[in-house]
Amino acid sequence: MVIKYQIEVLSDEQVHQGDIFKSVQYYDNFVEQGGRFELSLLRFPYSIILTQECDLNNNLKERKSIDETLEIRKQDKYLISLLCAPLYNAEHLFTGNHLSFLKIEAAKKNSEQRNYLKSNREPRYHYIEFDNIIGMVPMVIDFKHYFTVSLHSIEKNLQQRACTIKPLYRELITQRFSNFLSRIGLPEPQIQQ
Amino acid sequence: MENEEIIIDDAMYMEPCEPEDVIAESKNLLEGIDEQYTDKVIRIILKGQLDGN
Repeated sequence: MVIKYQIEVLSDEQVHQGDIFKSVQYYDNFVEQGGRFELSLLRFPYSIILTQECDLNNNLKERKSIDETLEIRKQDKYLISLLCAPLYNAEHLFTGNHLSFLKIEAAKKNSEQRNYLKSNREPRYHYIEFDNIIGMVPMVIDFKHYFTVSLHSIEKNLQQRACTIKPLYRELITQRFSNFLSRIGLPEPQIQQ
Repeated sequence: MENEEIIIDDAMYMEPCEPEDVIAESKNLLEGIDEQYTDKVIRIILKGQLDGN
């Protein structure tokens, strides 16, 4: 049985660990030649914030206590960016076409692989079914596709927050993410000729 | 570049569309995209001219 993840819809001014935002943009490339420029960005339909709650909370508290008129501000909890990971529509990911608009075809998952993934035994992925108060379809976080986004741009678009995954569920996600990042990839064994 | 401002209203297209499939020409370009492409990751390319050049 798949556990439904409990979510809440927040309207406060803080970005939280476990927030799911719509339409998060990753700035992919910028080139400029002779005054003409080209800016390429990736827009993810849904992304989850993986940055620790305490870092986000302390950063906001500190900024609120700062005198903005000072030329040099004392700030120890400054954050450059937030860590995010995309959530893909599970059905798209299972069929391997979730990146089709980028002209990328991923491997299709067979039923055995789907069940393995849905039970969160595949370290790279995290399957989520939502406690369905806002109509979110089942989604899969791909930890390999993590990226960063500026705190400023996320805070400017707080209205894009679709929901927030509740504590324990969100900690499970970040723990699995950190486990994925800290894995040790051993070299392929040499095949003796 | 005079004001260190970048104008992004010159031309814009979205892959896999062709460049002539220009969706809009305004500074609110990015907001208009969501209605058509909401369920998959997309690449957006903004082209423009640096102000003052």
